[in-house]
Parts: sequence; C-alpha cells; structure tokens
Amino acid sequence: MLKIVNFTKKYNKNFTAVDNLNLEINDGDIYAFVGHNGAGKTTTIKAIAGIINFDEGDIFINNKSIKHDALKAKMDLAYIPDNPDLYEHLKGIDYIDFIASMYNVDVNRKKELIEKYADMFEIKENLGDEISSYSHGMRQKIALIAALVHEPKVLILDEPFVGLDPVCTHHLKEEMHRLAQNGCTIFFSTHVLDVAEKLCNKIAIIKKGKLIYQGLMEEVTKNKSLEESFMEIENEQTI
Amino acid sequence: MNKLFKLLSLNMRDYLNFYKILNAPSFSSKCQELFKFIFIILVYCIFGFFIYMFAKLLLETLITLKIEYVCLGIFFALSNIIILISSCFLIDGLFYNSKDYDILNSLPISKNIIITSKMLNLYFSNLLFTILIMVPVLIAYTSLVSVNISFYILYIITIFIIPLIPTIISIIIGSLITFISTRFQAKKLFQFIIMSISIVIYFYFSFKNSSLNEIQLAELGQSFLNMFNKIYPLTNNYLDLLLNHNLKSLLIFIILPIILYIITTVIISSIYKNIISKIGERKKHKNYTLKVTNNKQFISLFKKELKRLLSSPMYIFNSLYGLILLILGIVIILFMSPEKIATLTGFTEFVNLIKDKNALLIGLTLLLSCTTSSSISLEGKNLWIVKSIPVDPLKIFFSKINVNFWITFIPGVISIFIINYLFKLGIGNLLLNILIISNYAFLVSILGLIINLHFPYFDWKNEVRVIKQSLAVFLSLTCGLAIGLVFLLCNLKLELIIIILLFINIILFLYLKYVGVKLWSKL
Repeated sequence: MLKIVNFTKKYNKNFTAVDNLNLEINDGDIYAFVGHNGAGKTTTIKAIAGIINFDEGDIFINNKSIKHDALKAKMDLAYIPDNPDLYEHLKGIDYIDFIASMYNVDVNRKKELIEKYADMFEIKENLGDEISSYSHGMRQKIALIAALVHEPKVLILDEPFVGLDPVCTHHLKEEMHRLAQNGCTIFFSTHVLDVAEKLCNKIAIIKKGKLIYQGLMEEVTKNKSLEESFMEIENEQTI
Repeated sequence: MNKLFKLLSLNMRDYLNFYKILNAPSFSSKCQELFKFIFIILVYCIFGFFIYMFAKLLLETLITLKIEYVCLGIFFALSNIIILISSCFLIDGLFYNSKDYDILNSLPISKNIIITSKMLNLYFSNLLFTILIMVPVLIAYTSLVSVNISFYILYIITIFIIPLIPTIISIIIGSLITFISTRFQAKKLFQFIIMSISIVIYFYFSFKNSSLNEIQLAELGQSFLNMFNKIYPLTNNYLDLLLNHNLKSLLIFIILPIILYIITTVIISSIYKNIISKIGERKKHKNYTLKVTNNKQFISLFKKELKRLLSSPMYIFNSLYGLILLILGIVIILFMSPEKIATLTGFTEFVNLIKDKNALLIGLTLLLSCTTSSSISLEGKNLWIVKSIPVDPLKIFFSKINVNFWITFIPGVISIFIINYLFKLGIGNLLLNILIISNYAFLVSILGLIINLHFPYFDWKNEVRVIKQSLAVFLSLTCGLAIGLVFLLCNLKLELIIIILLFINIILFLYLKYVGVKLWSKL
C-alpha cells in the first residue's frame, strides 16, 4: 500500500512544485497519475522513491515512512524513471545483478526471474553487452527487469511505455495486471490516456502541483473517453 | 566564425561561475554563487602559493650554482609534459564520446567548427593550468633575479602560447589511439595500455643517454637543460626566447601551432565520422550464458565503483597523479641508489630524508591520489539509482572510500617494504610506517568524498568536467598537498604523527556520518 499524506515540495523556497497532495493507493490497485508537463508528477514520484527530500507531509510504503524509515520502505519498492540513465560501463546483466544484490535476492530466484523477464522483453541475447551500446528501448527493458527481479510490493513507474516496442508494451501491461492480482501496488505517470483508461482501475489528475481529481476509472469515464473527461476536468479548473 | 563563438560561449558558461551569479533567480542564490566563485579563486591562489614556494626554494639553490635560468626550463618542460599526457587521456571523452555529439552533428555546423570549438575548450582549460604554474614561477623568479621589461612581455606572451602545442599534439595522439582502439573489443583497456606504454617509451628515450653524470657537474646547468630538452624538445627555444630575446624562437612558437592545427583538422576530419560510427557499433558477445553472483550489498557496491574507475583511462590517470609519481620515484631509487641521486642533484640531505621520512614522502604522493573527490559527481544522471536503492548512505560512501583506500594503500605499503629493505630500517620502523600509510590512504579517501559531497556537480556533458576541471578535485588536491607538506616540513615524531592522523580521521568519519549523510539526502 502507498499512502501520501499532505505532501508538499518546494524548490528554491519560492516555487511550490507539489502542494499538499493526499493519495491512498491500495494493494492490487493500478493507479494512473496524469497531468500536464511540469504539473508535479515526476517530483511526486521521485519523492515516493526517496530520491528527493521534501518539506512537508510524509509518504508511507506499506506503513513505513520514506522520510523516517527509508531503508525498510525502499526494500518494498521498485522505481523506474522516465529516462533510464543506467551505468554505461556495466553490462546489462551486471546492472540487473547489482540491483538484485541490493535487495538481497536469493541467487537461484534471481537467475530464474532474470531468465523469465529477459525472455519476456526479448533482450536475453543482449544481456552480456555493455549498456553504453544499448538503444533507449533496450535500456528501458533492463531498468524494468532490474525493478521486477526483486519482486517489489510497490511499483512506481514514470512514463514506463516510452521507448518500448509494441510487443514489450503488451507484455509489460500483462505483467502489471498479474502483479496487481497478486497484491502489488502499481502507481505510474503517463501522458498516454488510452493506456491509462484500459490498464488502470484508479486515476489521479494533478495540475500546477495540486490534485484536482482522484477516483475510480469507471466513474471518470462514464459514457465518454478518458481524454474527454480529462479535458473537462482541466477546463473546469481553469475557469 | 559566429557559430564558433556561440559554441564556445555555450561551453564557457559551464566553466565560469559568473554566468551563474548573473543568472541566479534570487538574491540569496546570487550570494551563494558569488561565495562559491570567491572560494574557487581562493583555492587557486593557495595552489599558486605552493608553486611559488616550491619555485622559490628551487631558485635559492640554483642561484648559488649560478644556473637560476634552469628553473624556468624545468617548469616550462613540466607544465608542457603534464598538459600533453593528461590531455591525451581526455581526447576520447571530449571529442568522440561526448553527450552533445548527436545534437551538434545534427545542426548545420561544419565538422571543422565543432572540432575547433572542442580544441579551444581544451586549450582554455590547459591555459588556466599554465597560468597557475607559470605566474607563481614568474613572481618567484623576478623577486630573486633582476630582469628587464622585455622579459616580462615575452614571458606573458609565452604563457598563452605554451599550452597550444601540447594541446594540439595530444589531440592528434589521442585521436589516433581512439581510432585504433575502435577495432578492439575492450577499447578502453586498449587505450589505457597503449597510452601507458607510450608514456614509458617516451620517458625511456628522453632519459636514455642523458648526460647527467659526475664528470659534468661543472656544467650542471647545461646538463639539466639537455635532459629537459630531451623530455620536451622546445625547452631550449623557450629559454633562448626569454633570455636572449631570439625572435627565431618566437617564430617557432607561433608557426608550429599553426602547422600542427592544420595537420590536426585534416587528420580528425578524415577519421571523425569513422570513429563515431565505430564507437556506436553494437558488439554482441557470442555464446552468452547467463551468470549471476551471490554478492552482498557492500561487495556489489565496491565492484561497481572499481569497474567505474577501470572503465575510464582518463579517470585513472587524472585521479592518480600521486601514485604515478610514487611508482616513478621508487623505480628511480631502485635503479639509481639514493646516494647516487644525492650526489647528482647536490641535495646531500636526500639519503637522510628517504631514511627518516619515507612514509611521509610516500604519504604525500598518496594525498595527491584521490578518486573519491569526483566519485559523487560522476554518478551524474545515474544518481537516481544509488538514491533509490535500500542501502545506508554510509555503505555507499564506504564503497567509494574503499576503492581509493586499497588502490593507494597497496602501492604505498609495497614502497615502504622496498625502502625498508634498501635501508634495513627494522621491523619497528616498518610497522610505524605502515600505520602512517594506512592513515594517509584513509585520510585522502574520506576527505575527497566529503569535499565532493559539499561541491557536487551532476549536469556534466563530459566526465572531463568533473574528473579534471571540478572545484572538488582541485580543492581535494590542494588540501592533500597542504596536509602532506605540513607533516613533511614539521619535525614531528612518527608516533605523534600517527596520533594526529588518527584524530583527524576520526573527526572526518564523524563528520561524514552526521553531516555527510545529510548532504547526501539533499542531493
């Protein structure tokens, strides 16, 4: 479970990137986080992952505070950034192995899961190559495998489908469904509203750092597409 | 020309703090940037002061031998050699593996302009280094030797010309090595090996048949100059220009860079795209089998740090200057006894210095070897990885510290054993010296890391920016030099030095634990 309580993040003391955000994402939820460029999505996601400090509020991952009990909270969490900048001097397999060892994954389980996900994302034969030689999509696949190999209870993704080929996009969606059915909490940002509509059971919309809508996907898309609903909610807020 | 200036000014913004001062969003951040700028100037001044003191000490000895002009030749040759060798290691990263390559090549800018802008960037950073060395030498020289106004004019002109030649030669050598290395699987390793071999061959032929022996002591000045002229063949021309105002030598310094520049642009233009496309080629490992390890967190972090260091010849060379000095020194002592060195140099105290203060001398070289001072900045865009993993920041710090510690400690201890064997200093002395070395190795590692935590820089396009030109690296080098010289020059007992070092290390550890972790969380 992921719980965001009164989360506020300011930059340079005079710019509020996210203002008093409250969200609760339960086990088994696939939650879409939608908004304009610069609305505060990546800031929120980075704060959840423990990458940036924040001024007010707290974030709980399975009831463990990322602020006060960061190591335990991070143990349950996997994060995939929008731009997978990985260690270029390592081979793909070395990177996955490195991340897995940070989460103390058993060696046999590690091997089993790497094989499974490398097959799924069709990158097995490139695992021995240096990351510096990978394309954007291949890096994204390595980041995904590294995130999934330690079987996280909470999965945080920032624009996960950017750069992925259609086959892998399909496999990732299926895997997200499977993980959610097994109780994993999934929270991801996206600009692709069609994907969010089909994949997620809940949605939150953020605008200029403030949460303007949250609720069930079926409620927001009653009789219309998510795109239409999104535009309506956005316009209401502008007025 | 306009495009070249725009490219240059864009790159200069990255180096010069006053752009940040002018563009800071608020008054407090303007003050912060101004403070940083003043601090950088202060660190440069301290470093310059060390050079001044060293040049003055050297000059005082040379004046008694009436060969004071040798000082100019020595610093000229040394600054050229350092620029030449260190720049060779930068060419691959700066010219061919730069992150701005794609965007620059997609713009309607000619190849020559891109190459020239990169060349000038390297020249400006080498010019800063030259100013830092040659200006304190000028102050020291003119305070002890009377010179006329034309000396000043020519000296200042040559400061701008000095870095041109080694910069251009390094670009030619570095480009050719990069070009050849693209044909190899382990191209970085190949580059490092070939450059190291080239340096060894270069010095071997420079020193070979150097006529510095006891018979010629009466002509010591000329013998020294001959030696330095072999190391860097323009040394005699430089002195000829400064002391005799020979305009022929000035012409050499003006024409040579122009010819070299033309050769460089012709060579690089013809191999540029070839190198870039070869670098971009994806090399597949045949018959790949999946292998995973059972490493614990710390071992994995340590291996990752070690691989990062070994993946970049430039990182190795530019972070481990001191170790290279140490290895050279030990080899010279092994092949030429300390007594012979003392006789040849006229420095009679050399034998006693090696006997009594070998650990402090070796320690000084270790203090100039620091990989940690750029290790935080080098995380760059990968910072999200180490910040999102469930690992105590102290464990991450110690993985970085350990890499530097073992890399400096092992050669340090081997050197202590060699000197102990040569002088038969006894087991008690050996143990004391090992304790000193271990404290020095830990000190430089933790100090570099703390400095980098205070002065990180993540928005680099090329790792040259943090490995060679960052404030953290420079500050760490200056602090290391200051600490090493203080212990070397103060006549303290070894036991007392160990206690002081231990105390400093404990303080630094506590600082890292309580302040360093907070700094890390703010990154």
